[in-house]
Amino acid sequence: MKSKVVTYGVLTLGALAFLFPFYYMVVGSLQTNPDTSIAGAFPHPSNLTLENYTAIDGRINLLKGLVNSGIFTGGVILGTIVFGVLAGYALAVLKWRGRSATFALVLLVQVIPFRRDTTDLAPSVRAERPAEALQRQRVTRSTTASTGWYRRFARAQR
Amino acid sequence: MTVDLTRTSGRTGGDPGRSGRAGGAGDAGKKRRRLLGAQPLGILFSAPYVIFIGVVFAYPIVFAVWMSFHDYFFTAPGAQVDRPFVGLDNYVTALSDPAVWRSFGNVGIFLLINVPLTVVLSIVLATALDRVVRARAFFRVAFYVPYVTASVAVVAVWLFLFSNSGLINNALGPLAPNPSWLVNSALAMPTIALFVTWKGLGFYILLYLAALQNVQRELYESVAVDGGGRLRQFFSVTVPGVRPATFLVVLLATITGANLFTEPYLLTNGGGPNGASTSPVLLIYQKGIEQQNPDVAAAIGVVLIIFVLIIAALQRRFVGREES
Repeated sequence: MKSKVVTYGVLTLGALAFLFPFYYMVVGSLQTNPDTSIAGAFPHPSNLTLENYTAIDGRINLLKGLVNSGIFTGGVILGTIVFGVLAGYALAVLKWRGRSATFALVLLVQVIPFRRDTTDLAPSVRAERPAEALQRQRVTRSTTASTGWYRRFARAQR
Repeated sequence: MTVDLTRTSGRTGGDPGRSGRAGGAGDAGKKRRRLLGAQPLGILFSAPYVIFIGVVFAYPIVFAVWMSFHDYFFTAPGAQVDRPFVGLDNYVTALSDPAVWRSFGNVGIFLLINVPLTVVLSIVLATALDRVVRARAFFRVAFYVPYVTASVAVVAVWLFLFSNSGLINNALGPLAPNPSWLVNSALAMPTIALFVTWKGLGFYILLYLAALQNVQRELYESVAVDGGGRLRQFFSVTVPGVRPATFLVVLLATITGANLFTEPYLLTNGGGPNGASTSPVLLIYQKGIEQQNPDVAAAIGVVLIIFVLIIAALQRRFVGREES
């Protein structure tokens, strides 16, 4: 019984630490004025508004960002399925020359470090450099929903 | 695809050793089988993947190594210029730059905090998660949510939380560090390590949960019979039982940690304060793309890969030794 309490205690504490930033994100998005005091973590009725949500589309091109995210996701899924199903089936079921070499290649790709995150960041990375107005123009075309709002946020913080 | 396969095996009929189409061809069929294998269709099926990997993975790596030994610079598209072989010059330039050493030191600090914290927290949480019955799905989702959210999306909340007048400093009151977390050269890297641990933990918990299913339940019972409590069970059964998973977690955390880029780029505005949170990959980006020195950047990249492979080999020796 005691150990059960400890188990649930540990898990609840962990879950709180993991979910709090998300909760804080939601609360922050509903505030009229940003309140960074401890009381600000608990929404106060007089400081609540939905205005921030109605303002999204005016600040960033939400539709275009979401469409770009969708195109990106679709491309990744399509590539994964086409390459993965074919190669996976061939590796698992068929017997052919070069099978073990290909399997070694699959493992090698996992082991050698290479960036995965940077690709989803690439648009914002380039957009962060104010000197290149021309490039930024090009970049806005490839801004995804999440990078778009981060750029807004980062600019506001400066 | 299934249809295709049944047809192939159908044609082969009672002789499974022979490849489909060459059924009646005798010698020629045998020759081809020796050359291409019993089911050459596999070559065709895996060709898209192999070509794709060659284009997006093998070619860039070979090109980067080539670049690091030549005087390489960006030119207008189509321009023909001489790029002479310069031997180890780029490596000398890279390794005589104190900023490069500092970035490797930074990522060392990062790994020293991030890897042990990840292993300890994920094994403890996974063990706890394995025991509970009620609200299991809720806890699983709670730990997994940060992992599936884009860094870019949650970084802003962390900036709010850890900013000078943010919630954390407000809660700490007089104990708040000065200068604040992310602009403090001693605390910037640990804060980033904390963020990365928080963000990636869900994945490692999942790895441990899978490994825990392979630990024999009888072992727990035998410890209990001998009078061992929960703690004894954890250290004598669980920890040794999930050792292969621990090796994998240490290895993956090190590899992803050594490739740190997004977090310092977003949290400390590109390696601040004064380079205290620059990671090697961030430096590669700054030197290669921003300062237009792709050859030196490629040299740093090669050095980084060698470093990571050495660390991985050491970990294999010390953490993974029992299973191999």
